[in-house]
Amino acid sequence: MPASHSLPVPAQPDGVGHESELIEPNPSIPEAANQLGIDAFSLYGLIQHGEVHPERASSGRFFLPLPQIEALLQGLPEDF
Amino acid sequence: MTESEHAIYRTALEAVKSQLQKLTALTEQLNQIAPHPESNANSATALTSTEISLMAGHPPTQWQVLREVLSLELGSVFLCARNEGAGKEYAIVQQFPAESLYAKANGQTTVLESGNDCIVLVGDYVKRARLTIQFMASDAVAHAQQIVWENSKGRDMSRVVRSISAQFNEAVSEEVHAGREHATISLGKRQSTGIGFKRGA
Repeated sequence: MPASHSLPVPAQPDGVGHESELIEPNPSIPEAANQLGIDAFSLYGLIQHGEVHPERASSGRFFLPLPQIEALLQGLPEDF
Repeated sequence: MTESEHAIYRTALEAVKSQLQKLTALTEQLNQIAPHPESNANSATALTSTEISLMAGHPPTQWQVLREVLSLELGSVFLCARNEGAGKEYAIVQQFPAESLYAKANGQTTVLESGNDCIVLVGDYVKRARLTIQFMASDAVAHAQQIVWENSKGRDMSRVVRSISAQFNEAVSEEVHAGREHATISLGKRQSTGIGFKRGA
């Protein structure tokens, strides 16, 4: 990445309450990765390649809805 | 920064400090991987494999591990090879911790990319990994920014956000910074490791 490149800074929230639109508890990506037992880098990679679909809060931060986590764990043995 | 700006800066940075450290470590690993310009697929085929192999892909097939490309806190990314007819096929294979829920549901390994030119393959993977860490950095900055706003009480804290953003920007930069100890590992030069990577200046 060129030195002159700046990371995108999300826009300032335009109001309070947007976060509550997310189903709680929706973990952040690092928290979700921790729940899955994998590195956050791995989970961000899965998101980036369209295998996982996070939601984005108005703050610009990504969260993973619980159904998405459940979908990732669909292959878990039933007797697990 | 004013005292109040600095206090908020410290609070926000503390919340994302571990992510900043992880991104710095990942970037340093990526910065050590530099495809040797004179390398080509023919020289790449001279690489010798390690004794380590793993099963990956659909259907699962055996891959010889040539080297670890990225060491993650939880898992690894490997450059692997297998014989394919008269030639070789290479793959970037990610290994997840066997005990993780994700691995139990999806398998412990996944082939991220494969091809017949390992130099191109590693180069492409490095680009992909850089995009991932930029995504991680952007998300961490958004988290920090959220904390700043929550503590700002309506005051302008743009300097604080810019400062944190700049730290993450530097953490994921592929430029080598003065004073940062840096070694370049080039593909295509055979070394005593038998894996064909050169540690240069």
